[in-house]
Amino acid sequence: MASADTVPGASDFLKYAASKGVEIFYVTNRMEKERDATIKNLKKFDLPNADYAHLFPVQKTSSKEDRRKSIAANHDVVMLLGDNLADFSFLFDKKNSLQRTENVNVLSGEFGRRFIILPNPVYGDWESSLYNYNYSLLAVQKDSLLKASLHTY
Amino acid sequence: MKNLSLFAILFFCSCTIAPRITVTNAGNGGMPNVIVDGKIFATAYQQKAAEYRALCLQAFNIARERIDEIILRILQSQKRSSLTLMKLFWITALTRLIRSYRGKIMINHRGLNGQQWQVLILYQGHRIS
Repeated sequence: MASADTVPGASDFLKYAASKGVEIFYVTNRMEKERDATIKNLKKFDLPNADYAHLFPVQKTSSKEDRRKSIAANHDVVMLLGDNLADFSFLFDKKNSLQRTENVNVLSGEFGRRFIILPNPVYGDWESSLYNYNYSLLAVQKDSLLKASLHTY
Repeated sequence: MKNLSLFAILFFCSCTIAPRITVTNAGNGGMPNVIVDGKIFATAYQQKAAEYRALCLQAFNIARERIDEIILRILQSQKRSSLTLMKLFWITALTRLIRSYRGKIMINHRGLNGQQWQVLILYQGHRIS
């Protein structure tokens, strides 16, 4: 975990924001036991606020809503950045594909403004939602569900 | 008033390590598995497509513009509330002291409200960083 690279542009942006007096919080679904390695990695790239108080690993639930609220209790949150819709709002927690799409429409005015979303075609809830968040399925079962979910022309 | 009301950004850690892929079509009747092989394809996009890099940079360029807008909006808002430049300088001079004393008590003592504290931080960003 301590060897992860940064998303292109992330380092420059975070440093720029910090230079303007913005405080950065890192909310991740990595485990508590991975906290030290994660901080080490943030420090490696000299990212701002790379310390215990600004890193929120997963606790009781994978939903980030409580952690967002905890930060917002003492700070004015001006922007959220992430590669998964559940990074932005509880409206995307464990929702199916159709609900996710509908809620993107509900929050359409936020993207590119308060919400900055990054592309991630490799994994995320966009994929998990296709399997109803059933992580115990075999690859072959997921394969069938994914193919069945697609429109055919 | 919120404690040390710095503007905050929530940045969600994205692990960009390529997934460990050791299986291709085993257990699928010899047919390619979209899930497993698809990860290879998607990882290739992340690692090799300049378009992926451009998309990320596009997102952060927008984010940077938003930050600038927010700062401008706050500063203009303060102008409207007749906060004078002199007062800003005074605030800036106090900034380091305030930091040392954790801010809140000292700010309250000086009668500054939360909005002014935000300007203080942003102004400090312009001046010192």
